[in-house]
Amino acid sequence: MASLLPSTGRGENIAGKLLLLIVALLMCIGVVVVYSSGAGWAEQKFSDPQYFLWRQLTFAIAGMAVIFVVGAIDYHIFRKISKLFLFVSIGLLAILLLLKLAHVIHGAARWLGFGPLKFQASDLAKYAIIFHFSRLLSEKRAYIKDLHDGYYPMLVLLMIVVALVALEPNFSTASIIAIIGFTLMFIGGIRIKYLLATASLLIPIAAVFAIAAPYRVARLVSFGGGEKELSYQVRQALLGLGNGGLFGLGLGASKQRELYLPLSYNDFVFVIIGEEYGFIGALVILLLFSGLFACGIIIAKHAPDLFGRYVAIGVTFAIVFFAFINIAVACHLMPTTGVALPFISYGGTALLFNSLGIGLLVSISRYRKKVETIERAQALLESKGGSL
Amino acid sequence: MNQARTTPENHRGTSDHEFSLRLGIMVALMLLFCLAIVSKLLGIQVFDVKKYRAKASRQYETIVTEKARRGRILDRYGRPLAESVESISFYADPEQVNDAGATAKLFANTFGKSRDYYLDLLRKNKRFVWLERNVPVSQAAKLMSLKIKGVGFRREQHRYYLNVAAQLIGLTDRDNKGISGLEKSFESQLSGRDGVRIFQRSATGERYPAPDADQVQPLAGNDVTLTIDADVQGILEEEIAQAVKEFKASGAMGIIMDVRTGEIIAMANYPTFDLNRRSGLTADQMRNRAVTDMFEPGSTFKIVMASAATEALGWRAETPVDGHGGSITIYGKQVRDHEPFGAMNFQKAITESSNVVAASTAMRVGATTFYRYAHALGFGQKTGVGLIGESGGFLKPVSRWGKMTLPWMGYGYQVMATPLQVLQAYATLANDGVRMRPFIIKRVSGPDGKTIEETRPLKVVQALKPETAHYMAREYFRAVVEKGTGMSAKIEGIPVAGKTGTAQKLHNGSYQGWRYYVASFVGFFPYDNPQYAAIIVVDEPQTAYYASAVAAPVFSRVCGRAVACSLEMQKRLSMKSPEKELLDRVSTVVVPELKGLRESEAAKLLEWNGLKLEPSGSSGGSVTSQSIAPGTKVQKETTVRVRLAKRVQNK
Repeated sequence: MASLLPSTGRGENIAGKLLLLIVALLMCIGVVVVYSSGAGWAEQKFSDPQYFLWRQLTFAIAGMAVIFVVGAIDYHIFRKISKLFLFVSIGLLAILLLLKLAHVIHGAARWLGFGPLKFQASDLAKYAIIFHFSRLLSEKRAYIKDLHDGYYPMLVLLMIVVALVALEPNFSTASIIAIIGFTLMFIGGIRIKYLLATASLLIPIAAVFAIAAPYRVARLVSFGGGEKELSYQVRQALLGLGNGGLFGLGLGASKQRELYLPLSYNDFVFVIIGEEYGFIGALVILLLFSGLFACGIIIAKHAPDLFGRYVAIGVTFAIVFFAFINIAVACHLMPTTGVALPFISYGGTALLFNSLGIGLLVSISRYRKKVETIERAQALLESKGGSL
Repeated sequence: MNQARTTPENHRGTSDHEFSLRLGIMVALMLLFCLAIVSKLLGIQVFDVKKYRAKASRQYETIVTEKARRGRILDRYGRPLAESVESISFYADPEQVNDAGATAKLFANTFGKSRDYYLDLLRKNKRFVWLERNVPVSQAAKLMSLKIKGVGFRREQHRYYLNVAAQLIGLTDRDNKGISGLEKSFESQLSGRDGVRIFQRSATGERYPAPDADQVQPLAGNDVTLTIDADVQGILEEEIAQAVKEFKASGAMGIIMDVRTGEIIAMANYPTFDLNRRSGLTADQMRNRAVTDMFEPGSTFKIVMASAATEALGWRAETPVDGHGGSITIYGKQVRDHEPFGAMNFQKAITESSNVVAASTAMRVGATTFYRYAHALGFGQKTGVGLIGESGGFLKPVSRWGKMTLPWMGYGYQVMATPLQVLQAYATLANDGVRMRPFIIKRVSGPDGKTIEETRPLKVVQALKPETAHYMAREYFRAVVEKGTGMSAKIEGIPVAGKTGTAQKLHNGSYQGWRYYVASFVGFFPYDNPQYAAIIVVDEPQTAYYASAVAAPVFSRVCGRAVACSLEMQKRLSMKSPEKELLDRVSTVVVPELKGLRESEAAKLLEWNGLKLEPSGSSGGSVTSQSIAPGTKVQKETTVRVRLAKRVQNK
């Protein structure tokens, strides 16, 4: 029993607290940076420079509340509802697509809900996949290496979700969900040769799909091409980062945010961080996410059960992977995709979903403690009984 | 241990090991990803930072060149012939305009267009719209000071012309750069230096001057003052245009010059063009023919022959010459006169413009001497007036003369000259034989009015002895106008001297079967103390061709009107000339009503009016009738005769 539990058990205690600290820090940074970069846009669009500030603050507080609430409840509840959760997600994605086919929705069918409570159906699906895969992987532990019983069911589910998201169309999110799913399966013990075989089949399909839409081709060309072919956004993003230099221009001094960089409070918020706080600031953000990753992994390693372990890994990976991809796009390491920076980018519901994930990690780390306490009490009881 | 729980503890050995391994692989990959990002950021933000900073500053800075105001071209009295008027153009960035309604209203109130017109513009989904273009500064001043958000303005310049001396002044192109005439040759003086202002953009899009950048203030161009008198120029242009119309000519030119200094008072060409409306311009209209086009001058060139005869041969007005009955054959070629002159004196040969005498006299003078005088009077060389495209005419060196060159040249063929050169020759004669360099730029002065350069009259050469010049002016060229071919060039009250010229135009190397002429009159006044010289050249007149009928009357009208409207000319003529009284006499008075007045009263009234009384009938009576009707305009000093009668008291 001690194999996965460190003898002291202090590591994951610290991990849980550190995790909360990191997330709180990220949210604070988010509030400040979104205010700084979005004030001008807000002034223009809503005649209120503080528009983004209040909303982001509200969601940050709500996010903390979600973390504490979810952190307090037993995460196994998500195991029980995971199947329902997944089917509801798939259903919603399908409905969105149908509405799009019926020309009720024009353009990309990505959003659900009304007013401030709009959220991306893919966010829901992402968590549904994490939960259900964690459940399946833990349940199929015994025959996980089996192709038909272990791999295929999961692959089919994943492909359904990915295909639906891709058809929205939201190719980048679909790819990321696919990567999360495969990562979970990889961690869960699926045979690597199956995964590789699938990848060798899927990558050409994805490539064909990628070049099916002109805007995606344009993005790829602008990524692959020389400096002259850079898209406007990327060029401006690089200018912003470069202008920040090592130490940055200082709080609120970004010049890129309003005039040159569209969505500076959202997808390209990292550029504003790099511009105002420089390389040091950017490094701090990267370190915070790396810390978050480390905490998540520690929590996963010390999770009381396989479900918790997989959920912890899935959630951690999803959040940090999103963050890295966002940053990679901002500094032109990857082609442009519309991926937000978790906890920092403006956007309420995405923040709430991420808070849910953090809440789960907290819950898992706490549950482990609970189990430990019970075990210790039991051991004490046994020893007493033995002595008696 | 509770075995119901699916804890990892249940699966030991390889599976746990495998999990750790796979987790390790994932962590490693993520670490790699992270490192890739860090190295990329390091590249952008630390190593390449200079490159990106430079790019960024280029993006944040806007360089605005402020066009310097182009200098003016002024006439001799400082009246602008060409000036740059600043106008304002308003533009807007509809995205930045907060209150489109109020802005539109403001513009509507200022410029009189409807509010909706501006609203439509302000609602366009563009980042740049012109709201109003080229409005006068006075109209725009209020809006310029308001600083409306999202609305900016640009200063633009437009060249406006008084619209005289079009070819002389020339044109500017779209960028306000001179492309012809003085606008081109004085480009460097007129253009000034554009200002450069570097603005930085703040995060909200407002512009402010960059604190550490060099701001270069625009420096207005220099003003160029010409010797041209706009009024006289206008008169000259009007008259030559009239002449072209009257005689169905293909073109005409005229120049008026101050003989004492060489200043050009007016220089006009026809066809001409509208400086302010420049569409459909042809090169024909833009040519400053008065200095670019050369002709065989014809009889006006006889000044060379006459000068040489007077100085080299010692001929006088009464020297007898032979007209050979109107025709003479030289080396098998016939030289004809328009009338069959017989024996006469040299004066008559000139006043009647005898080609026969001119040819034979030229031969008497000899080629070398003839050439010397032609050259001294300025033929065959540029005058140095400093205008673009000036032609130096064409005077062959003696070594290349044929047998007929000299006799033909005697009466103005086999030589080419521009109207300005011909005028210059007569101005030289008028100026006591001193050839002055003609000039048109009086002064260049800075925007502050300080003189930078001033043209001083330049004596080129003493071409003739002063006595010769005076003698010729009096005996020959005054006589031409008094009793010869130039009689229609007379100006009331001003004694004019001059010469007509009717030259047949060479066509395909032949004068035969070709009836195109150049009619010209060149003269100066007053003959005994000359101040001004003028030339009128009418090219290819159709309805008449003799210079006496075509060019001389134009000369008279132009100079008469010029003197009448130019105070300076009047002053020069009256101050320096004994003809002042003559001029005064020109002024007329109105004869008053004298009827019923007593003799003494009538005499006093007339005296006030500058008239004289000559009474008749019973002295001491009242006026019953007057010789000139009341209201009649008469010259001063006219005598009015009146009849007086004693009144019958008891009635």
